[in-house]
Amino acid sequence: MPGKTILFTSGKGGVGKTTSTANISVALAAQDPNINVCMIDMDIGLRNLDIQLGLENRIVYNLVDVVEGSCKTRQALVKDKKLPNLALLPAAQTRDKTAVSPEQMVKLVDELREMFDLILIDSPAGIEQGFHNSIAGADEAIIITTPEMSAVRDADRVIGLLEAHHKKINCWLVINRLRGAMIKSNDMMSVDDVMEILGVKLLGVIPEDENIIVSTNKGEPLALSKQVNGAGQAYRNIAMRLTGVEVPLMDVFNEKQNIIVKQFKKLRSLIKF
Amino acid sequence: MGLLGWLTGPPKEVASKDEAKKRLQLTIFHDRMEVMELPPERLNALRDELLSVIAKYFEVDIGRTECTLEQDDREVAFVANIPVKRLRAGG
Repeated sequence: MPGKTILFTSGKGGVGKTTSTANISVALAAQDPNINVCMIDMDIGLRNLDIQLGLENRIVYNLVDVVEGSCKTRQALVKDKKLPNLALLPAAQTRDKTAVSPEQMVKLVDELREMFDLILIDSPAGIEQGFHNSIAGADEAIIITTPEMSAVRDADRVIGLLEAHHKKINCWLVINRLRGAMIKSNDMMSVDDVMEILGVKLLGVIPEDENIIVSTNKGEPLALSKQVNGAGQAYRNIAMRLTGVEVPLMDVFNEKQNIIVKQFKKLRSLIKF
Repeated sequence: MGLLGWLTGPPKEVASKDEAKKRLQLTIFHDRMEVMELPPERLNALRDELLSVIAKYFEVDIGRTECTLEQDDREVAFVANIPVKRLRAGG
């Protein structure tokens, strides 16, 4: 059976598209070694998915090389360090979004469908050519947003464009960087507030988690850590839902444990001195 | 502001998230209208044209006529509420 393609998009930059693509991809590949997963970095000229995965030193060829016929598709695919069933098709860093066309993307994605079960496409920010290249071969779309006005507004615009492009496209929403304490004090829109405005199905919620920064520093997506709460677990939950497992939504208000862990870490760092 | 005022603190402002939600709902509504290429002037023109047609068949209460675009999830509906006074004699 040919593989399925899932697009990650948001309109606004900096809401967590690339982080979400990396984490959900590793979680999907880790939960089932029989599923072959491929990621495509569509951010030509500003590639970053390689950094998130710690694969930046292993890139030889890229997406533009494949499209232009300078190499075979298999030659450009970078295998993950830990997961043998996960691969990355990196973006070119020295070209721009006009280096490929939507038609070329459809052809490339169709070739990848024969090699992989799931293909996750990381779209660039914006709604220009890079976005149109990204949606060309997409079967489903995951819209990433945060509970901020500009992110929600841009998400709405992107959902409108997706629906205009492909009337029946399956759109899912992921709300990232939720802060329980701020929602409690009514200084941040809640999951329900965002849902009410956007009106698409909810796939998952991700709490604000500083461990994301630490894991990116190391080039090891947080979803692979043993963390039981926080963003890593939230990403694993999303991966499970994508494969049809029902998982309850994460409680973003559960910050008690984090505070205890923080205090403990503080104490430990004091002892070290 | 005496001791009581000091104890209760400054008067509570509107929760900032409610303000955000309200502003956002309005902004997105206008965004969607613009995308559908229907600015307010066009909406008024539509109402006037619609009334002129309906007035051929009914005597309508123009003063109580309401035409709005309503939003339900991702669908926008054009809702016209036109009170009818009486049927006009057919020609």
